[in-house]
Amino acid sequence: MKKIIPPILFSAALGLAILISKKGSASRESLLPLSRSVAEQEKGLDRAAAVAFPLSVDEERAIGADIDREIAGAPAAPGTPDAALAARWRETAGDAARASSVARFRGRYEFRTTPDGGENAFALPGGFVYITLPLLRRIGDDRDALLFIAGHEIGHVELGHCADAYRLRAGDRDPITATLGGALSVGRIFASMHFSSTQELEADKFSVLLLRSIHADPQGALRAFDALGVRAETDTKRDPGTVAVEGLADYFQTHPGSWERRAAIEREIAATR
Amino acid sequence: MAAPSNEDLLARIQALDRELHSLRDEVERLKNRPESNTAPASRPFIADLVPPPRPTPVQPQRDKPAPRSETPKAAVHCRLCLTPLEFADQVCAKCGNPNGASAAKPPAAAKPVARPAKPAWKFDEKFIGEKMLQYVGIVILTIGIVFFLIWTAANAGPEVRVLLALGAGAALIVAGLQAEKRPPYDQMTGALIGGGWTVLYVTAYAAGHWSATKIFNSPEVILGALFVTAAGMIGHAVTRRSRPLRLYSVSLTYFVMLFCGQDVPGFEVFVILFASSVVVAVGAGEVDVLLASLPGYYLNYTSVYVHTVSLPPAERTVDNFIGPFVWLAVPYLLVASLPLIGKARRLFDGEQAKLGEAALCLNSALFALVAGSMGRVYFGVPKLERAAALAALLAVPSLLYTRRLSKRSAAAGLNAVLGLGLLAAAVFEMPDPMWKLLAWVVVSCGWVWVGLFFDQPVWRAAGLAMSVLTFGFYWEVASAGPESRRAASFALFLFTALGYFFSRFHRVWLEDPPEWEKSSATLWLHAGSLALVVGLWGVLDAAPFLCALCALAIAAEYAGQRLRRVDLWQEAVLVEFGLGVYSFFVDYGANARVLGISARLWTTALALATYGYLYFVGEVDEELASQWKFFDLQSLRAAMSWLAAAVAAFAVYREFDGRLRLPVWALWSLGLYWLGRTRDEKNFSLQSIALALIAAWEGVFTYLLYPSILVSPIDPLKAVFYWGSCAALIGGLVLAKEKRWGEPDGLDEQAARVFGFLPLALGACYLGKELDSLKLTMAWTALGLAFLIGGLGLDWKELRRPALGLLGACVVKALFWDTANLPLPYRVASFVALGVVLLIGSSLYVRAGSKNEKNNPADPV
Repeated sequence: MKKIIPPILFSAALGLAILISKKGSASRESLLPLSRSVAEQEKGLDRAAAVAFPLSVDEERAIGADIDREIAGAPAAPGTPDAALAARWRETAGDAARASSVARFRGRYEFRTTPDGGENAFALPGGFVYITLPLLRRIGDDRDALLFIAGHEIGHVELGHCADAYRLRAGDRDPITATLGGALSVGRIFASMHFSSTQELEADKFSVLLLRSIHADPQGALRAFDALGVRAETDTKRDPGTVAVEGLADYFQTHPGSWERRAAIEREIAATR
Repeated sequence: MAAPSNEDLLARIQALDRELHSLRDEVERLKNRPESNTAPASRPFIADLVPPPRPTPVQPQRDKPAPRSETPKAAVHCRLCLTPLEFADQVCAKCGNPNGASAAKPPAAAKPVARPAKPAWKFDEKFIGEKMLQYVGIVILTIGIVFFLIWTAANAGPEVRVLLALGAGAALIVAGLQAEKRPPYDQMTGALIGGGWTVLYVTAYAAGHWSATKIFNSPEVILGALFVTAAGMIGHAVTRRSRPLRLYSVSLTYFVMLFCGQDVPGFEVFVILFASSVVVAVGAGEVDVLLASLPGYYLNYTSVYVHTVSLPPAERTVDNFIGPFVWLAVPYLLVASLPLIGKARRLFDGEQAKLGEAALCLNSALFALVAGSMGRVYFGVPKLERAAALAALLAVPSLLYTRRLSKRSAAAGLNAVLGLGLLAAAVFEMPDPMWKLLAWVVVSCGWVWVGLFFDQPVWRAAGLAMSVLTFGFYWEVASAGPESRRAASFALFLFTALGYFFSRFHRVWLEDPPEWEKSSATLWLHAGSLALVVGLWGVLDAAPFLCALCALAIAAEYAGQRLRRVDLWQEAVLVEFGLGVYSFFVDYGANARVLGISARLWTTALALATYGYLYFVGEVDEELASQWKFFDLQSLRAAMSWLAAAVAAFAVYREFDGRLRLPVWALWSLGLYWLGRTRDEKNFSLQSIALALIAAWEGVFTYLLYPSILVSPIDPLKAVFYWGSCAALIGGLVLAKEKRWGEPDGLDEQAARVFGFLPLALGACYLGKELDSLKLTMAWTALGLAFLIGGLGLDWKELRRPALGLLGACVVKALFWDTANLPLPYRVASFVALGVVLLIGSSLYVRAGSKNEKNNPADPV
């Protein structure tokens, strides 16, 4: 029995290599799996801090409202193309905000547009979600892609990412909270550089789940990336230097790369099929 | 009677001296001792006691001092006071005795005979007439001759000047020949003769080139004069068998020819000159002529080289290259073929062997450098065919030298390296990266093949050195794109096959390799294996490559053990650890399912099966393993088990979310502990505890606190699996307390605590995820109570204590969170319920405590 195990294992290994090569998805060497695992632990600690330093829904809303007042510009003039875009944004994002997975600020989301900031979308604490007009023009008529973007930003709010960012800074309610919060916020700033990509991936996942729940096409997420120029990477063989640079540079990047982001969405689409 | 005069007294003393001396000689003779001051020929019966003098070289008898004798010096004493003297005819410094000439002078007079003191000169008319007049006369005559020469040189025609110079050169040569007969002036012979010939040679040059002495106008005559002088100079040096003069004369010949550019009708003249030097070297049996001739020839070739590479591109045709190349090839082949010619072989034997090898090496090096660089610059684009032809001109003689000279001939080795270097340079500049890689592999391995076939270590070493650089070329090709990378990988597979073949050849068929080459077999094995790994990396993505590494590890381990090859086994160990580390850096991308299972799970299962086979089933020969001094087998196995555990844990983390990850880890931890307990291997127990702690940590930070919306939805199957794993963990506690596998130690007690705490923690996390507020508190209370009852019933503190902790947390939560905003009736109900539960718990403790006191009076609960 012992003698046949090596040939069996050897054959199984070779067979598996061929099978995965032909049927499996592309894979490559990367430091990101390890890096992402560490970042998830950091985010876990961040969530533990949320338990220790809770921020209520109203407190978060008040923070967001303050920022919103500062950055909200004049709405587009009625009848203009920008006004039509803004209306379409409000309607589509409103559909997303009515999904069952939206709980924290249910019914309180406000969707705004801004002409500045390139092709971008962002969320403020408390449910204020912005999108830039250039991005709206880029997305065009693809409703599912727009839903994905809205769901992504709603995800940042629902998952507490916006609150987590402002939580420790608002700790001036009592001396202990202020002191500890100030001390912890310093560490959080450094750690947040690492787990910001993790938060982006969580928001992507939330958005895919949201699209499923409202019976939209999750493939819209990939189309949104295509529209934004975040193309699929086909290079599966990279020299060690490139891999190392990618791993190190990831610490300072706020968003994951195309390969990782698209792969995560494809996994989520396959898992929720 | 008148007193005797001084002269009389002196005469008597001298007579007494002679008598005394003869008496002493007689005594010495009777004693058979070598005597002094007598010629050995008069006493033949003692001749054998005194070694005969070594025959001195025959010297011309014209005023030549007596040759030195090698006979041991006989003791010489002053005849009057017996003071030791250096020579027989020496005036004694002590008594002043002249020690006049005795019967026979010693045969070995090392120094000139001291002349008797001359009477002091007197400055008188006689002196002036006999001496001063001739001295002054000869000086004035000499000055007059010098002035004459100067006036002649300034005013005479070029012919006279040439004649004067020739005369001076001849005079120097004659002076040198004469000085040779008159030591110690013989030390100046070389300089004088060399100087004389230099004057003659320069005169021959000047007779055709300098206006002050130009008497020849025809280039042929000029060349002829130069060649005649050179021939005489070299011939004289050869007949004299003087190496310095030989080298000097040959070098001078070429050096002066540097300045005869316009006189030389064609470079063939130099070829002829070089050929002549070869003939001279062979004829005279002196190889050093070539050592001077080669640099001189190439120095004169410089103008041809510059002219050739300076041709405009339109004229750079093959036809215009042939001529200059032939002028290089012919001299090279002339010298290179010398070891193959019967009569010339003596140039490479005996004392001349090293010089002969040096000449061959110099010949090859100059040819390779000049011809190679000239071709490269001339044609601009390297071509493998040209390089191959050039390399063949070097390689073929190299192989022939090994048969005609010695197997370890330096020239053979250098030719091999030069030939390979030329080919390598041509391959290096090939434009197509893929062909470059293939050519590199073929050339390097071809060199090794020839080295193996002809048993030439230098060929093998050069080929090996070149082949190692294959990996650098692979990188250049691979970076061009996916198709290039795959093609380059197949070139590496070819290299793998060759590497393994060469390794076997070195190990099995090569007899008595040099000491430095004994590790070549292992080097080739490693090179082949590295090429295989890199090649596989090039054609496969990360996940299939990981599977291939598993296959390699199994194959190498099996082969290493069966063939009892420690180097192969070391490779296997490297791959085994490498695949484990590599698995942490595989990004599975979309991680699509293959036959219903994700690629990550497949590869992880394969890796764990590999490790399982290696650890539990695979047999490692202890003696073989002991040959690897760096690690011991136990350490390797322990490290492997840790690596396998880490690989599994990481794969589970990446594959599943918290809802499945935790029970999988929990069960894995239980399995590890079971292995550790039953096999008495602490590594597994430690891994089990570590994994359990990680599961507890993850239960809080990546499950309990993780957003519920992002966790996979619960279903009955997952719920059963989760709670089943929690129940199964109790089995770990049982294992820890079981004495069947030995008395539990400290590690088992820690494991017991962990396995008592972990199911409670996981259960609490599950409930914390699914419930909130008051419902959560109630569920946690029930859970805690269940563990408390179980702990009390089984008398396992490992269950009771965590349960108490959980119940304490419930109390705090209920008091400060849950009931803070409840209306009063609900708050009352909650407090009552909580109080009752705590009282029940306390009663159970009391009951258990009293029962315990009855059974074990000294054992507290």
